[in-house]
Amino acid sequence: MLPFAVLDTSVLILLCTDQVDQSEKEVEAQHRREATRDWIEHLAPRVRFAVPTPAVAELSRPKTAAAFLEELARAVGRFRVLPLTRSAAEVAAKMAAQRIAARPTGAERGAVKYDTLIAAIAHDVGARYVVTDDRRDYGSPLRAVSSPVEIVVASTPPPGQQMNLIEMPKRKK
Amino acid sequence: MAKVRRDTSSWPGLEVAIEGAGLSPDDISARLLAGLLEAAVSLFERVAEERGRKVEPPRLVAVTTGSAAYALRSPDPEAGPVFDAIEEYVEARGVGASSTIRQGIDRLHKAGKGVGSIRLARYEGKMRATKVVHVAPPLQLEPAIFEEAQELFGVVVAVDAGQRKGASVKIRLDDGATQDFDADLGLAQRAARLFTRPVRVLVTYTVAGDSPSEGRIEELDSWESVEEFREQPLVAFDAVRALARDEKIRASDWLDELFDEED
Repeated sequence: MLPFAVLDTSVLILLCTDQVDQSEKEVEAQHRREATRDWIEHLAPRVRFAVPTPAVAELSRPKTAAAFLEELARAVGRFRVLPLTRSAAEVAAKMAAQRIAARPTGAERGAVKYDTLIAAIAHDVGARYVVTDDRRDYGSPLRAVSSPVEIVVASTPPPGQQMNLIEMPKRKK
Repeated sequence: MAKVRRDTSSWPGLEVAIEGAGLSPDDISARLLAGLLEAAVSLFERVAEERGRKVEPPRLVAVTTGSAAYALRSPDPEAGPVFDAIEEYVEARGVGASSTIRQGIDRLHKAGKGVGSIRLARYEGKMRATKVVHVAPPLQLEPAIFEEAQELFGVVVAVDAGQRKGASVKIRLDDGATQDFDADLGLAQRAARLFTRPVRVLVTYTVAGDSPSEGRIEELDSWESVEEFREQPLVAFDAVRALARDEKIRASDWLDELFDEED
């Protein structure tokens, strides 16, 4: 049985859209999209793609046309949708414990972030990869449980395709 | 030349005593004493192992006449926290301890059976601490019982509707295992219609401790699309991309929103 590669929200956004204009941001997004699509094709023969439920929650935008969201749900549903099970929730708690414990006394209540939930699901199902656009911190939660899950940065070209490397402008966070 | 007696009073230790009116060491049979010391040292080793420490085991360094009390001390300074933990576990009657340690406490409790109850006291230097802990059997812990739902994927390989209580559906799961699930008749009939086809099932288990009960199918649907898109996953997004173009959905803005929320 092929291992899972868990797609995060940023990757799904890139896969379900196209470049709509020539603005700097859209051109940059298109570079990321092309690299992401290359990664998906590169990984396809050796993994099963899966979408964690927190990513499904994040994809929902109240201002977006209902027909688009419906079609998006259909597209995502063609992959394995991985729920946040009890055991995954326990993993998430372990991953978040260190960060929450490090909060200063009296600070606002720390929430378990989406990236922690996604990393916990990936770890809990024994996924091989988390595929991400690299603006999220999956490293810290995965390290907290000594997870073997590897992080694939989909905005860089896959192995053997470095010739296509495009110098991308550093974006503001 | 006579051997100079070592001063063991600085070694961490624990007094293990059999409590009973007028008991003294000569009332205790050798067999009972051996059982008591074995149980005490075994509990020490279990606690030390759980703490991930290799600690020099305790030795019998003194016998208190007039009360059947035995002084166990270890030359290893690391033994101190182990004795502390033993005292805490015994005082809490094994609550929060592993099953191995709970068994060790039970064994120590039974070691004085028929003669007297077992009590423990730490040593503070030469002197025995005033705090005494009696060894009682560990409290029986009832495991929490809860229901857990799981989404599973596989192929229906058998349906047995001839059971007194509902029916059962056998599914070969996509991890290779085959499992039977209870199901009501309607779901079993649907499973029969999907015989040898891929399905998605929502199963609930009653979990008590670490052992789940046999699962019960709550939902069962056909799930054929996986193979179609497995080799060409990008095709799965074609229709939604067309709609995104029509709606002029800007991924760059969407990603910014996403990460702004996360921050």
